[in-house]
Amino acid sequence: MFDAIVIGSGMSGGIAAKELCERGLKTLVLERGRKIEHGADYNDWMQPWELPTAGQVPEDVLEKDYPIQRQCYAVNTATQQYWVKDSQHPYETPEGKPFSWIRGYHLGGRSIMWGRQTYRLSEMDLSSNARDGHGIDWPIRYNDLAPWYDKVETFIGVSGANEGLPQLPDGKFLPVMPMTDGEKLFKAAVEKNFPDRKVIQGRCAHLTEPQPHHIELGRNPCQYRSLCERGCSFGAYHSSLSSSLPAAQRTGNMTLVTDAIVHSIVTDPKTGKATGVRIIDRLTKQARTYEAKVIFLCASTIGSAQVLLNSRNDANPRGLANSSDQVGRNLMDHVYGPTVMGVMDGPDTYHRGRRPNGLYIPRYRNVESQNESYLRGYGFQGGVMRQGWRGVAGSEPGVGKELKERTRHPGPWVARLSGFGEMLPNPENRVTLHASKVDEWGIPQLHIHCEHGENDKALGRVMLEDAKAMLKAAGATITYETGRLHPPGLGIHEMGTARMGADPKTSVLNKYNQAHDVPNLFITDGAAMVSSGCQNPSLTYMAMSARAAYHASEFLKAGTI
Amino acid sequence: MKMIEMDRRRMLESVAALIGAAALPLDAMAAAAKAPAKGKPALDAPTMALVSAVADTLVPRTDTPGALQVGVPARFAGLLQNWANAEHKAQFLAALAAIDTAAKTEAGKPFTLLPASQREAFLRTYDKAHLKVDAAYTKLKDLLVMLYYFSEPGATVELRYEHVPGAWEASIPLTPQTRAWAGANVG
Ligand SMILES: Cc1cc2nc3c(=O)[nH]c(=O)nc-3n(C[C@H](O)[C@H](O)[C@H](O)COP(=O)(O)OP(=O)(O)OC[C@H]3O[C@@H](n4cnc5c(N)ncnc54)[C@H](O)[C@@H]3O)c2cc1C
Ligand code: SF4
Repeated sequence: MFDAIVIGSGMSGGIAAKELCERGLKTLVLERGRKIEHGADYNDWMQPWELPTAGQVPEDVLEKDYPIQRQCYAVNTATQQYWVKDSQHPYETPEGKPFSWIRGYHLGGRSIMWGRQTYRLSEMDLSSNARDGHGIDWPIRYNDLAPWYDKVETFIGVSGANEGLPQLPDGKFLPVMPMTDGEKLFKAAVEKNFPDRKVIQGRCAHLTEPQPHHIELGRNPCQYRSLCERGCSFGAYHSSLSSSLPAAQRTGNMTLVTDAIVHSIVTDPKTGKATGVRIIDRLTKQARTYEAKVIFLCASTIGSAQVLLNSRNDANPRGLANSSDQVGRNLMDHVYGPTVMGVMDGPDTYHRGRRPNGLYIPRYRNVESQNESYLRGYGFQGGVMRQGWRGVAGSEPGVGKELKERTRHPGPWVARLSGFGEMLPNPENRVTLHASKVDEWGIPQLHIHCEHGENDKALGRVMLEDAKAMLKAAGATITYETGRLHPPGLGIHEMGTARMGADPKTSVLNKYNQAHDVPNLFITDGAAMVSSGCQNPSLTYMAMSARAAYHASEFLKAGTI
Repeated sequence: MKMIEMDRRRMLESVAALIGAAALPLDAMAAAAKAPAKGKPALDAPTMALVSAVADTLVPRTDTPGALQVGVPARFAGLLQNWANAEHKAQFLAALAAIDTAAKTEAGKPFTLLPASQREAFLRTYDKAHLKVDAAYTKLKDLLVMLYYFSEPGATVELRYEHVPGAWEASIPLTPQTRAWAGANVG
């Protein structure tokens, strides 16, 4: 019997495990995937000429095993080990309504491959549902999360600068990564022409200057290699493997079991409380049960919904913690796809090192009040860098010495912006268990129905126009533009399938991420999100995980769960 | 700061040790991509001659090695065998053959039989007419050029590559002598 079980070792589960262990709870971490060794299992040592098939995954393999995962920019031969084979982990979507579920099943989950952009939600984000009536109100406000943002940022290490923007709260930052000269020009032009907009350096979970608590965990300063998605042997960005799990491990309170696929959560029919979880061994396919006083479900937004739905029993025919019928509903991602690039003039300077970060333009629409024809808003990620050799070589015709001579030199400044928009919660966007199909472990497959609504599409359109206008204001000549929205899911910010709320009739979790129906069950990954904001969400999952771990351990102490 | 510096050095050493020691799962794949399977060659001799001539013309030896010196033709053959699917393999080969056909009709000889200077003149004209118009040719050229700049001499002698830059310098002077950074993720 453990004090706590954490299901999933990714971004959320890693922090939950650390916090529970540090609070003295004997904690079992269950991970469905294989064990990965920090450092030894990474490919970050591979030089460009050592990459298998020049970094390109064989096309037949992509088609057969990775038809969904291949859509993600980070898939290459150096990261291939981190993506699920879609052929082995199928799910269904309705005809013509694709959803791209991008994931990795291994120790650390997607905390290894993530893009490391790290932003807080603001008071505006946490009151947006209340403001316009879409979705239900969040049961928490910014002040509830702020101390936990502080704590998590300090622990993981976030590079960034304080900007004093109400819609993107400041935080506890390590030194910022400076802008290129092209970016400084771009920032000046945008801020002059659009007084409501700010161009800031991206905030990212990298150690620009490790603090003693990072060094203690064996973490090192960022080397500016931009090989991060392969896993970083320097431990310079936050992942479960470099950071949260080692912190949990050193307390002596963590037990880690990999290759353990959680099938369902077991409850006591008399009390309605969770008593443990039932797992299927990935390799032997044998079932086992583990028991604990409290359970943290951190299997990722869709994975956690699957576990809840599959924990159906006589008392809970719709699935566990689902008296509200909200489990699996309100699936959101960020509106993502519109991208613009352009060539611009700038000073005769270059840059050295590969900065694993870029520019960020925080949301500026409907900030103070609702004043656009559409709801909510969007932000941009981007950068202004010298065009690299491949673009220079391919930009215009040329062969022989001429081609070599041109490609030898850094190209012109290229500005690039991609939008990330807030997607509205919609109860019809949902995951359900397939009526008959099961996976090779006997677990029901998922059916995912998710599509962009009119407001989401409207954001995509204005995003594109704004990006073009900002590039033009900086004097850029547009060389590439697309307004096409990617299928939902490809923003890889899926969330919302077990939302928080004050009312058990309309929500799954209370303000402590505690299931209304099952007091010793906490869900602290993206499933808990009530609205999506437009910021990259992982920091919020980690803050909720730390906060819920505190409350759960207090409730245990007090004997109330 | 001192402590961090020391830690960084220790880390670099341990990474170096790792490169030497660990038997990594992708090693076998890397080897397979470099050396096409023994036995049946990936591409027949005339095709190898043609791709060699095209790659050599695209990226010749100058004050630095060219495509032939860095092994682009063999790497290309390896990619067609181990990376491209049947459809794309056929497209790459057709794009190569189209260059040869055009050489025969426009310059009177197969591409491989043209003297080096004529090859360049012919390919320059062909490139102007086909780049970004003919998708198969555009992909072929991108692939050959990419294999050159991804090679060790292409990345380190022709361009500059630092696997572990160790710092981000957001603004350094750009002079006519400045070489571009090689590798992926460089803008
Ligand atoms: C390429 C890429 C770029 C990204 N960029 C950013 C970014 O810049 N900023 C940002 O904030 N976010 C980013 N994300 C998203 C980020 O990775 C996720 O938000 C985050 O990892 C979610 O954390 P999680 O703990 O919910 O899920 P995960 O990190 O996916 O972890 C879930 C874990 O649970 C395990 N699991 C699942 N089901 C079960 C089960 N039944 N039993 C046992 N274990 C189970 C999985 O194997 C996995 O290890 C990016 C993601 C990708 C892939
Ligand atoms: S850029 Fe920094 S975090 Fe990324 S791989 Fe390099 S050292 Fe690691």
